[in-house]
Amino acid sequence: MSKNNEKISSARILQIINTVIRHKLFIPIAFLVSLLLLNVFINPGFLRITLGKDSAGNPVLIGNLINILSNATELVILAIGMTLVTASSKGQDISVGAAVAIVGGVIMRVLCGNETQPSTLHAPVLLALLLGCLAGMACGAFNGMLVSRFQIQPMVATLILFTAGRSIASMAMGGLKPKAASAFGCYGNFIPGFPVPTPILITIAMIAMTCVILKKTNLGLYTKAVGINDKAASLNGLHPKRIKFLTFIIMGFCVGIAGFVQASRVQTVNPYTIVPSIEMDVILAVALGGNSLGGGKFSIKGSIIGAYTIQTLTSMLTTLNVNTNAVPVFKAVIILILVAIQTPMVSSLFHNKSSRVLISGRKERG
Amino acid sequence: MKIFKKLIILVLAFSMMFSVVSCGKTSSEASDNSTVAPTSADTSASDTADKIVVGVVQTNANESDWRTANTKSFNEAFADAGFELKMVFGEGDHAKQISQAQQLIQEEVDYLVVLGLQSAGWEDVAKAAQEAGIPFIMADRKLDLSEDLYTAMVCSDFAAEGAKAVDWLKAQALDSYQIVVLGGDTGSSAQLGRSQAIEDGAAANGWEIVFNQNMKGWDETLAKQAVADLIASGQQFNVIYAENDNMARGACDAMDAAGITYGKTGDVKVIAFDANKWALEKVLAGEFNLDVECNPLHGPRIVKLINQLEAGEAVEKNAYVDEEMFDCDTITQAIVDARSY
Repeated sequence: MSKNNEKISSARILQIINTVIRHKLFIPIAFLVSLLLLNVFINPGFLRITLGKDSAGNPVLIGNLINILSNATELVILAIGMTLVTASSKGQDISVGAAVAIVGGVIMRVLCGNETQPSTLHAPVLLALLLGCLAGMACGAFNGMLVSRFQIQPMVATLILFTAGRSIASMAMGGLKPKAASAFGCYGNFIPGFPVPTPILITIAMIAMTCVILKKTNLGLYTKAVGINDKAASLNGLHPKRIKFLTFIIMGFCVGIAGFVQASRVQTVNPYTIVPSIEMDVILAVALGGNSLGGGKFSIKGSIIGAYTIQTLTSMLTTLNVNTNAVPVFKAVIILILVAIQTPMVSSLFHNKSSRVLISGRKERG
Repeated sequence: MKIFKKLIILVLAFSMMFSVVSCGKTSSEASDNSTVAPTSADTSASDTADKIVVGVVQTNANESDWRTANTKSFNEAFADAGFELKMVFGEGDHAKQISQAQQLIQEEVDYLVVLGLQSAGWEDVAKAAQEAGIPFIMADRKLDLSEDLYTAMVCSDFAAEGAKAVDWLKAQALDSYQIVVLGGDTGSSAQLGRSQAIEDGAAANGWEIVFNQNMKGWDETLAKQAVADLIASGQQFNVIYAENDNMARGACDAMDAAGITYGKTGDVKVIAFDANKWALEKVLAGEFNLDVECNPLHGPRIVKLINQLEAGEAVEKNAYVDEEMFDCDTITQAIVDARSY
């Protein structure tokens, strides 16, 4: 009797393992965890978090994990928007870096006016945030219009802003490179007296908001439907154009928040160099999360995990002091491994093995 | 789809109109030439005959405060000297710069000044200028050209800038040297020269470089995050060697956040490059220990050079702009106030 029970329970464990392995997010999560473990192996202090004090005497949390969570904020927020855009329009928005520059430029202009080193903020931060988000959404609307109304391929349509965006940002700043008063810095760093970096809180808020919207509205379902087949969706009473446009507006909002955090980090914006080639990292995050870049079904959770994976990788290459010329190669090799694991060929191999184990488990039970 | 078709039709119509207009222009020019009538083109030519026309191929209009000061220096110096300035901007595009330079040669400028985004690939332009009899002058960054292809150069010596910082660092006689090198854009001549100097200096003096990576776009945020990561992983360091002012400021931000002291009275020595006005203020305040100047005021030097060439005098072929360094122990308010950029 007890032997039989053991067999049943072992079979059940195998079954659970099998479902876990078969889960879409298994590979992204497993990869992130193994990357973290590799870091711990190399530097045992990697996961250590200490409570320190900054030079003004405020308590701050210091640790690599904290840095990763904080520095990934822009990537995570942009990946959320990019996932929706990818799902609905079957293409990517490559103008996010340029749009972040525009948002940063607008925020700097609002906060600094025409001064280069103002000692006080020229306008309330909330106003700057609002105008920044509006600027981001305007960029999104421009892209969305080209994609949905004029039916230009997303990559071509967003190439326009990709080309012009950083110059537009420079113009928005009036050609100046101001540094805002340090009071603006608490949104990209720490709120005095509170030890958790503010970007982490902003990320949590954005993720929570996304979850609520996807749970409470049909946005996710409609986006999926349009991405899978927009003709069928329109026959079912959806407006594919409007939904595509909407996803670009959401992308624009994400750009607005990301630009705000980024501008606050060092309270200055160089439109030509802010978030250098982040668009590629964001697209990569979406892909690493197991999403198809061809649109349709999507997993925001996957993209978020992908974003943290990229940030972990970046942080790892810094702490290991990899030769600067080898950094891109190192990154490419790790990404290659991750992408290779997710290809159908490799994953089918993986699944076959695990199901064989399951079958043998079942046989034993019989 | 309809709108798209309309758009195409519009574009086609426009392009047809343009081609008609341009045809008209050339035909009228041709007739002007044949009748040998005094045209507006002739009068403008006689107008500029006494003025020296200088074509300048600049990199970007506004990539940094340094570049803004650089462009302004050309504008002011040329206006004072009474030269006509034709300045074009590559906007980050190397190929665009080359075609712009060739365009200027075709326009028969009297002198061609090039501030190259990249050092390679300028042979054809230099040869074309030589054939057209236009003196070719390199400014800011040295290009890969053999001596016979250019007339003169007025450049920044990045390796010498780095060497100055190394000498200063040696004079500090620290007990031990653990250096964090924050490099600029990989492959730019400024990054190559400055990184080489500290690497050579460290090897010669037995210093330890604990971190040496290049930050994309000389970015302040990336530099800050890198230093924060180093601090979090427990890496000890006592020198920050940041290859521009912004990255030095980013590094200071990261040290502030972790409660590490730096500057004149702190544990970590901060070395910056470029010496913008705001950075000199930081040196004066004792936040940066040293700032090595990268002089953007090329305008007057180029004007002097052209005047010498006009007078038929011999010129120094390989000249470097004078560059100083500013130490937090010796800097004065007057130096900061005298800074225009």
